[in-house]
Amino acid sequence: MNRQNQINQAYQKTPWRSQTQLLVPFTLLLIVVGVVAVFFLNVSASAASKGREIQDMQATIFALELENAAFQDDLGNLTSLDVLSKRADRLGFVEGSLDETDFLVVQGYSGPQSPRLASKERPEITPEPELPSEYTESILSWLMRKFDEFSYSFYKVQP
Amino acid sequence: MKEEQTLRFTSLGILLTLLPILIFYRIVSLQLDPEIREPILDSLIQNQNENRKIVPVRGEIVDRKGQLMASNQRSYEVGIDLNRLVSPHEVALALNLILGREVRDLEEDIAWAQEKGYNYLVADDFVSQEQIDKLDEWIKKTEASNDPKEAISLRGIRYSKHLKRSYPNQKLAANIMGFVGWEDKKEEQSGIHGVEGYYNDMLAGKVYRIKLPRIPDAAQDINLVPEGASLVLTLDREIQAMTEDVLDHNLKRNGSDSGTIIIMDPLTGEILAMATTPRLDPNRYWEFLDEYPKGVSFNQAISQPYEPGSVFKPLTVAAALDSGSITSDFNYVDQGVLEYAGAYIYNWNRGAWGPQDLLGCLQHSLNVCLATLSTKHMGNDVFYDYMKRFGIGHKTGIDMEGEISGFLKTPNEGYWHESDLATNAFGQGLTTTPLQMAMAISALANEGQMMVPHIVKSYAQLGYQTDIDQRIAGVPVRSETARMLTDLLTQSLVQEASDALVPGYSVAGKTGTAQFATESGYHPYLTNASFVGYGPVDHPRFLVYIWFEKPQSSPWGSEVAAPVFSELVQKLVVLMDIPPDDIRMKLLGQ
Repeated sequence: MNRQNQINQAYQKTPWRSQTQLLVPFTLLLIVVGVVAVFFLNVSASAASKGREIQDMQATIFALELENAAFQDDLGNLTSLDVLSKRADRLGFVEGSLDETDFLVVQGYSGPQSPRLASKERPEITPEPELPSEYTESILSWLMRKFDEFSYSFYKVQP
Repeated sequence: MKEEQTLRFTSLGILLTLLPILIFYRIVSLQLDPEIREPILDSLIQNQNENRKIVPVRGEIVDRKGQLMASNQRSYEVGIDLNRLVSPHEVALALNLILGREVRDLEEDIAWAQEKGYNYLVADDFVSQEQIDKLDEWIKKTEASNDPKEAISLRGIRYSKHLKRSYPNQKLAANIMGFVGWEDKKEEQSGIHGVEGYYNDMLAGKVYRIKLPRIPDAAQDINLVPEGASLVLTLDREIQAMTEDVLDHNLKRNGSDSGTIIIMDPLTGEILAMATTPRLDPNRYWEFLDEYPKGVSFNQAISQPYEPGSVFKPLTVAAALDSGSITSDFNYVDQGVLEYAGAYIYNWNRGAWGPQDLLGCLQHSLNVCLATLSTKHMGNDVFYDYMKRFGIGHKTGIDMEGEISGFLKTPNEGYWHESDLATNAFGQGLTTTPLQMAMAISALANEGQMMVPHIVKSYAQLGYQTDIDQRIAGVPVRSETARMLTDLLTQSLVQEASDALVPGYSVAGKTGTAQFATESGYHPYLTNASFVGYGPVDHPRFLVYIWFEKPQSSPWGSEVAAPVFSELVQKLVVLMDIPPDDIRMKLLGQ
């Protein structure tokens, strides 16, 4: 009997064992939540950082567009007729008259060509692949969308 | 005591249970009710986003050789951040010295903006880079001061960069280009007059208004806003400069009120040069009203109607020949006067020229001959039908803003008089623009075919360049008639030993002298002196139309305008690489 009591006691749950049994799942849950939180923070921090980079790049694009246009203008000023005429005068060039002009045939030369500002070939426009929203939205937006759908459906069924 | 405690704890427990339930219920109801949720979300979204207007870079304009005619320059808007402003007086003083704005005006503006609760006040716009450099240097200097009061004295001054339209060649081709400025009730600057006005929508591109998220993790990719289209003109900058130079010094020489010269390719309708007076520097478009007081056209070549006079005569002769009303061996005896419908038509010298053929009619520019052709040989129907075919009284359709149609009365209209048939035949009693005349005469140079005059050759948009198709305006006469007229106009210049002749080159042309029409009739001695000519006659490469208004040195087109044609063409053939006829024939034979 005494021996049986000893065996029963040995297999009986001790209070610390019950507490441990509760603590382990709780700890595991905490770890999972922590890991998810770390991932979420990491992803959202990275998204914020990339977002800031995109904003910076957009600002740079606008600034470069302005600069590019302004450089074209600088070039236009440097090659303006007035500037070039003065430069030609300084270098001792004089305007040629008809009497001083000799005409030659240069084989293969057909006179000044019309300037090309862009390609003559129409560019082929490749349609951008359209991804369904499930592939592009974040978990938060997905949750928001689902919540919206739910709330609207909830209000629809009201009498 | 124990029961009392139990009751208290129970009540507290119920309260603490109900309160979260109520809070939870309210949270859920707020989230689920769209009427409550939507306004909150809207205001949240509004604050999350920044409204931004994206103005595309305005397209450039280049001449036919790619030389820049219009581009975009750095410019600045200077403003005051009223939330950071410390010393309005110091700021007003600084902006007065750099930008030239009155101190008192600025102080009043600042006080007004502060009173209204505004955050920002625009002090000036289109400020140059040099002014900004000076301002920047001044701000930095004050900020570095050891005196804390001085260090913050210019706080609040802000400046932001944007583009403004720029014309590197200043006044050159200003009448063709037009300018970019503010128009009433328009939020953006827009093109006014000329090419800038006509092609404004293409050049300006589309303004986009977008919402940009303020929070970085919601940043979205903004599609690049395409720049405005760039234009390639048919204009040649060197030819334009030469034409303006020839026009300006001849205006001084002959004392005319104004002048216009058009050079076009008669085979394509391309405008190579178009010089008129006065000219405005489009970089300083706000001086418009000083340069163009009421009644003065921005571009006389397309928007100033006038009675062309004898340059019109080739059209009448062409109509008579082409319609079969006369044949090439036409002749008559000129008696110096023709009475028709109560009007007396005289020749320019009031003389009788005796027996004349078509060459004599054109060479001596006989009004009586032309009135005879229209009244006795053609009649109303034929004459006016041909004038319409030549485009008289209609716009040419040139791609420039501000073209007008001129005025041709026809028999169906109430104010037409029978005598108009006689006077119209030699270019009086009707009005045209110089460009209309140039286009009509181009039919004679181009085998009877008139091309629509145009100034834009091609445009580049979205990375693709499109050539603009040349359009036929009409075929008013047969090619045989056109060739016959070219022969007559060539011979008349040679036989007259005209000042318009160009050594080494065969040219066809006609002078014109028209009395100046006023509200009370024709002026006794003021005239419009014109010349139209083209060459080389076997393969015309240029057509030149010249008009001087009220010349003082001589009233006659043959003395005022014809020599200008010769002077201009001698320079033009060098710029266009056109050899003299004998060399050209030899080169063609090689």
